[in-house]
Amino acid sequence: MLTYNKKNLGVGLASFASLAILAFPVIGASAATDSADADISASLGSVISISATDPSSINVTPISGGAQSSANGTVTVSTNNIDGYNLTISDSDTTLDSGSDSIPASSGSATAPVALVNNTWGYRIDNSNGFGSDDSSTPLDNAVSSSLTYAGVTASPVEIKNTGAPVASDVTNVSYSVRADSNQASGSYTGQVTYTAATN
Amino acid sequence: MIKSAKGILLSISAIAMLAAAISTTPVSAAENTSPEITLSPAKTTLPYKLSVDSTYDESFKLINSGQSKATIQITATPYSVQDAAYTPDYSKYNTYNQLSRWISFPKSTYTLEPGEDVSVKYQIKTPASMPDGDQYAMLMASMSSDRPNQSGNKVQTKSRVGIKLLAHTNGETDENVTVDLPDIPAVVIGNKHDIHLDFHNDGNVDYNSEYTVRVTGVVNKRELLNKSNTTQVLPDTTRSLSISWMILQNIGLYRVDITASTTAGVVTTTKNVLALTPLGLIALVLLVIIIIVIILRMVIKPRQKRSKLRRPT
Repeated sequence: MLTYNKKNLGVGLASFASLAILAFPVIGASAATDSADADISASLGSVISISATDPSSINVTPISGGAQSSANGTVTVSTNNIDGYNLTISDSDTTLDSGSDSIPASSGSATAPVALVNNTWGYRIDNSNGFGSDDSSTPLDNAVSSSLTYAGVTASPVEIKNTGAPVASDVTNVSYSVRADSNQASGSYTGQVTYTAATN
Repeated sequence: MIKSAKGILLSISAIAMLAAAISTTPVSAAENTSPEITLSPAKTTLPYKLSVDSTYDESFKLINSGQSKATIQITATPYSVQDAAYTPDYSKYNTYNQLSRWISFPKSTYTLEPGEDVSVKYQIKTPASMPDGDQYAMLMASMSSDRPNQSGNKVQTKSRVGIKLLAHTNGETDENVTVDLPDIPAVVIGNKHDIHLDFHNDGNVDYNSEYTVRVTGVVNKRELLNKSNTTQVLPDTTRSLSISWMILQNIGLYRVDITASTTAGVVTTTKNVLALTPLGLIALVLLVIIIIVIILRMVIKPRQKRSKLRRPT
């Protein structure tokens, strides 16, 4: 008799729990709210703006197995365009050059970035495209190895941000890294990337 | 008396130490002194149609909205898209972006002090023969970074911001826009569901399609999603849009209504969808198992009772 009651109690509790889960909304889900609209008419001109800070010098002391350093820059965009903006990155020649010597861009892409191999350079934007959430805010300083993944800058623009709404001072942090071994000729290698912002 | 004097002294010392601590707290970030370029309007459509062998004078506003002096280059580039996600391209030419070749600037370099603005004039001189349909261009303002000499490897940046310029021409127009509405499944499992719309423009002019995606509870009539927008579809392109519907109830029956305007008229699709979160699916399966167990017990128990009664004592 007692066993029978326990079974009933168990079945009852399980049924109650199932019904409760089904009946109640997902935890953390926001509820819809009623609102009243008031029509106010105004006309504002549309604007879009951009500013950027360069990364500082990326100093690498190459060793036979390779060493990697990085530096961070930012690009800031504001627009009151109702559909927001898109931001792309590109580089017409994709290499860092020092006289006749050059460091090619990484073979990784924004959707499939890779760890830098020796004598390549690349960029990463944490939490964007396929870069993942690894934190690159602390620059690397001649690191022997790094799990951070990078993409090579390409001649065709690659979208690094797209907002669907107006934004004010929307900052995108871009980390640049160079990895080199002792086969790479010494010198100051430079390159120029282009950030382009336009409305959607 | 002495005790209270000590207390006052201690309080003063504590306040003084706190004030000293606050005053010596380092400033967390330096003020951003980078130049900033602002363009207005952010995008524009010429209010007239371009004719062959004609000249049109236009302008836009360029502002140095940053904190330092800036030297800004003005150029016109083609505008097209690389894919259905509308990733922009500013270098490849096609039939619909010849406009940048027809634009010239009387002055293309401006040095502006912080806060200074100018009206940048440009001229469109159309050729004797123009392609039919719409024309697109980007009016670009760019500035290169101007860092002091540094040793080591350097990645310099060029910041560029553009005005998307659309011009209609006097040529023959062909409007032909269709849309692929999604085949929504009857059962959706997950915490969100993406609804995809693909717009195809096989014509030679720009088309702005108005679309609405609405998700409403069948039982409580509560609106979970009501997204109405207009999307621009360029000639000879496909534009894919993805609209996310967050599933807020563990189980629910919803009505999904999608409408989109095309050149052939408005197309609509409606479907009732059972939406379950993973937790809702588990609970539903559990509930079905419990119901089956209860039914089985209701069937088996009377049989056992009957067989007990039949058994000879």
